[in-house]
Amino acid sequence: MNKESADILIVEDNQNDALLTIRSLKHHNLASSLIHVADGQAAIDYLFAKGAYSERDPLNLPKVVLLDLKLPKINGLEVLSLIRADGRTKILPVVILTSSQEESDLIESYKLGANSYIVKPVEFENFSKAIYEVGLYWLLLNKPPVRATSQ
Amino acid sequence: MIAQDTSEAECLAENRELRARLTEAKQELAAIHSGAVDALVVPVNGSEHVFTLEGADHAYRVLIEAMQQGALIATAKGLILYANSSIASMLKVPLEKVIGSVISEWIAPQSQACLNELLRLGPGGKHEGELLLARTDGTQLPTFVSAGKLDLSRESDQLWMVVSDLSEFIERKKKESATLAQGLAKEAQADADKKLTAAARQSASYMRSLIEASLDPLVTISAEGTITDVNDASVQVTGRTREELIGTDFSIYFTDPEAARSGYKRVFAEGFVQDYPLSIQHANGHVTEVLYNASLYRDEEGRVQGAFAAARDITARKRAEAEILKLNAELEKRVEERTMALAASKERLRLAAEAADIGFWDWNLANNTIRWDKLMFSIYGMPESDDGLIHYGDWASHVHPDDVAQQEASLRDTVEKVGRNQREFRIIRDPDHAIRTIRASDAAIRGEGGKATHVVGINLDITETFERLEEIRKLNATLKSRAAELETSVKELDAFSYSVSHDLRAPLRAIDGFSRIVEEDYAPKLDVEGRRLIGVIRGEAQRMGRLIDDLLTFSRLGRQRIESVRIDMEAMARKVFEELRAAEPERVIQFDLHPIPPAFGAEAMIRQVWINLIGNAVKFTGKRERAEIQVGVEPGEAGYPVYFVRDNGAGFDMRYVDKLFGVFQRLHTNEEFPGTGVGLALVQRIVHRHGGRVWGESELEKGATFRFTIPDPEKEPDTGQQPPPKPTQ
Repeated sequence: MNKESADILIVEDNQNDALLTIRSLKHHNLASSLIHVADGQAAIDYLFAKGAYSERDPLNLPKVVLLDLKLPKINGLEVLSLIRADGRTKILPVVILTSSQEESDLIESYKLGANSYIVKPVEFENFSKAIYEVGLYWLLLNKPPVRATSQ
Repeated sequence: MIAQDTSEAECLAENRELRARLTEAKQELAAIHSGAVDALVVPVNGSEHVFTLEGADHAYRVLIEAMQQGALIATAKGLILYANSSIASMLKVPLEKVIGSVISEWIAPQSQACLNELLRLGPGGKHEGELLLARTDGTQLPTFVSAGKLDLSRESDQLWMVVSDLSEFIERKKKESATLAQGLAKEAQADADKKLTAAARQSASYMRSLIEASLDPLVTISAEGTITDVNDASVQVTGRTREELIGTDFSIYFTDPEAARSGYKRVFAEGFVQDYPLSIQHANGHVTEVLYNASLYRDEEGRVQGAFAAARDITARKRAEAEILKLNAELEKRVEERTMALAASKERLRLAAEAADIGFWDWNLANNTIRWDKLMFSIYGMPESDDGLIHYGDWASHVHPDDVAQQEASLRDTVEKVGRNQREFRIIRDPDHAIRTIRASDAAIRGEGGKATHVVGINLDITETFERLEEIRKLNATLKSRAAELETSVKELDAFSYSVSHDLRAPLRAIDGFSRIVEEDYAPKLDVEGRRLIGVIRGEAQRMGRLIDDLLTFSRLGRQRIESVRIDMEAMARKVFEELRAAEPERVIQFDLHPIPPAFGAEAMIRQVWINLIGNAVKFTGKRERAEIQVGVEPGEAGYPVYFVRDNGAGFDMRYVDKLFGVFQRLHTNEEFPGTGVGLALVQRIVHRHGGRVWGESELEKGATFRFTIPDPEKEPDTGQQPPPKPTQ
C-alpha cells in the first residue's frame, strides 16, 4: 500500500466521513483507485514520497485531492499551501471537502489556490450526490495536467 | 505921604502922632469889629480925616468890589469880617447877611474838610483848591478857591479867600463832552465835580481822546431815544458814520429793536442797567453780541440830560463759551460712552466669571493688600470680609501643605518677571476641610518704572472636572479591558462556531449516513416499523443539522460588519417572493406588492429579512385555499418608512407576542408548521443592527402583519416624498 499510487487522495481524519465518502464514490464506480490518509502530515508524506511513502514515485500524482480542513498535525490550509509551494504539486487539483461554512475558511482556501470548495451536507443523500458529482467531474470530465496523467 | 524935607523934631512929632492915630485906629477898628462904629475920625496933619472902611482904601475897595471873583476876610475861627458883593451874589443873599456870619454856614458839607484845612493854615500859609459853596436855596456852587492867612496882626491871624465861580465853565465843559459826566462812576458821584474841575483844568479834548480811544462802543442817548453822540468804536461796530448815527433812533441798530428800546426805557426809569444783552447789527449784516451798561447823566440842576451807554463786545466770549460748552458736551458724551462700555464689559466679565464660577483676586504690592471677590471666598469656604480684603497668610494657610512652596515660588516668579503664570494646586476648603483642586492664572501689572505694582488672578475650582476626568479615565480603562475581554469572547465564539459547524455536523452526517446505509444494506431484514424508526432517526438528525445551520447564521450576524448600500426594496421583495413561490408551484397565492422606497443597509442581511418574513407569510398561509400576501410601506412615526408584510394565515395569539422574536421560540408545533424558531430572531437581529425596529400583530386565524424600519444612518428622517424609482435590473 505504501508504494501504491492512486487517482484520488482523500485526506480525512473522520473515519465515518471517510467511509461515507468512499462508499459514495464506490456506489458510482469511482473508487477504483483511491488512497485515504487521516492527517495532514500523512498527506504531505504521500504526495512527496516521504516517511511511510518514501518508496512511492513522487511523480505519480493523484488526479484530485479531496482535502478536509480540520486535520490533526498539519491542518488542511497548511497542507494546501505546502502543495502549492512545491513545483511538483503546484498545479495539482485540490478540492476542499469540509464541514466548515466559515467564510474565512472559504476565502483563505481559494487564496491558497484551492480548485473547489465543497461543504459537506448533513443529509446523506445530498452528501452522496455531492461526492459523486465531484468525483465525476475531476476524474472523468476534467482534463488533468500532463504529469498527473503520465502514469 | 511923609515930607522929605521936615526936621527931625517934626519927624519925631509926626511919629508920635502917627502912633497915637494907630492906637486910635485900632480902637476904631475894634469898634467896627464889634459893630459899634462904622466910621472913625482920625486927626491927620492937624486936620481930621474921617476913616470908614469905605473910605479906608478906596482904590482897593473899588477894585475888590469890581472883581467877579468873590473875596472875603475871616477870623481864624471863620467869622466873616469882610466880603465883596460877588460873594453875596454867588451865595444869592444880601451882603449884610454874609458879613459877620460864620463862613462854614456857606460851605457845602462835602467841602467842610477843605474849609477846616484852610482855617488851620499857619501865618503866611496858602492853599488852592475846589470848594463847593452852599446856597440858601439848597443848590451848590462849584468854585475854585485861593486862600491864605494874613500876617497883619499878632493877635489875629485873619483868613483871606478869593473864590471863582466854576459853574459856567463846567456847564460849557458838560456841553462839550457830555460823555464825561457819564464816565463818572455812580459811586463817585460825590466828588464828580472835583473830577470835572480837574478835567476842566487839564483839557476837555483829553477826555474826548480817552472816550474815542475806548474799544467799547459808547453812545449817549436822549430821553427820546435819539443818539446824541457816539465814539469811533460805535462807528466800527455799526458800519455807519458818526453823522449817520447821531440824530437817529438808538434801537434801530439792533437785531431786536424792541429789546433795545425797553433797555433804554429801563435806564430812564431806574437810572441804570447793567449787563443788558443786545445784538448790534452791522450795516453788512454782521452781528455783534454785546452787554450794555448804561446810566443817566444830569445837569447841575439835577435834570436828566440823557443816558450814557457803554457796550462790551462779548462775541468772542460767547464763541469761546459755546466752544467750551460744545467741547464739554463732547467730552461728557465720550466719557459717558466710555463709562458705559467699561461698565458693559465689566458686567460681561463679571457674568462670565460668575457663570464659570471663577474667582478674582487682586494683590496690591505697594501696600501688600489682597482683595478677593465673592467667589474667591466661596471657593475657599471662607466668610466674606466686609472690605473684601484678606491677608496673604489667610490664602497661604489654605493651600495644601505639599503645594505651598511651589505656589509661592510661582507667584514670586510672576512678580519678579512682571509676567504671568498658570498653575494647578490643591487647597483645603474651610468648612468641610475638603481637598479641592484649583486651577489658577495670574498676571503682574507693570507700573511706572517697569516694576510690578499689582498681581491679578483667577481661581477656578476644577475638583469636579478633575474627578470627572479621573472617572472617565477609569471608565476608559474598564472599557478597554472589557473590549479586550469581548475580543477574547468573540475569538472563543469563533472557535465555538467553527467547532459547531465542523464537529457537530460530522456526527449528524454519520447518524444520517449510517442510518441510510442500514436502510440500503439491511432492508430485507427490517420490517415496516424498523424502516419507520430509522426514518425518524434520519429526520431528527437532518433537523438538527438545520438548527445548527440557522444558529450559526444567527451567531455570524452579530459579528458581521454592515456595509450600507442603497437597496431597491421593491425589487428585492419581488425576487424573494418569486423564489419562494417557485418552491411551491401548486399553491394559490395572491401577492400584492405596493411601491416601496429604497433603503440603505447590508444587502445580504436585508434579503434575509425579506426571505424570513415573506417566507413565514407563505408558510403560515399554507392551510389557506387562497393565500393573500401584501407587501408595502406605511408612513412611520419618525419619518422613516415602515415596511410591512401582511398575510391571511394562521396568525398568532397576541398574548405571546413578546416571545415572537426569541431564539428557538415557536408559537406553533413542528407538525402544524415546521421551523427551527430562529427566523424571526434573525430578522430582529438584522433590523436592530441597522438601528431599526420590528414588531408584529395578529389575531389568531385571521392573519398576521409584521412591520419593520431601516433608518438611513446618513440622512435625516424621510419627509415622506417618494424617491425616484431605481431602474430595473
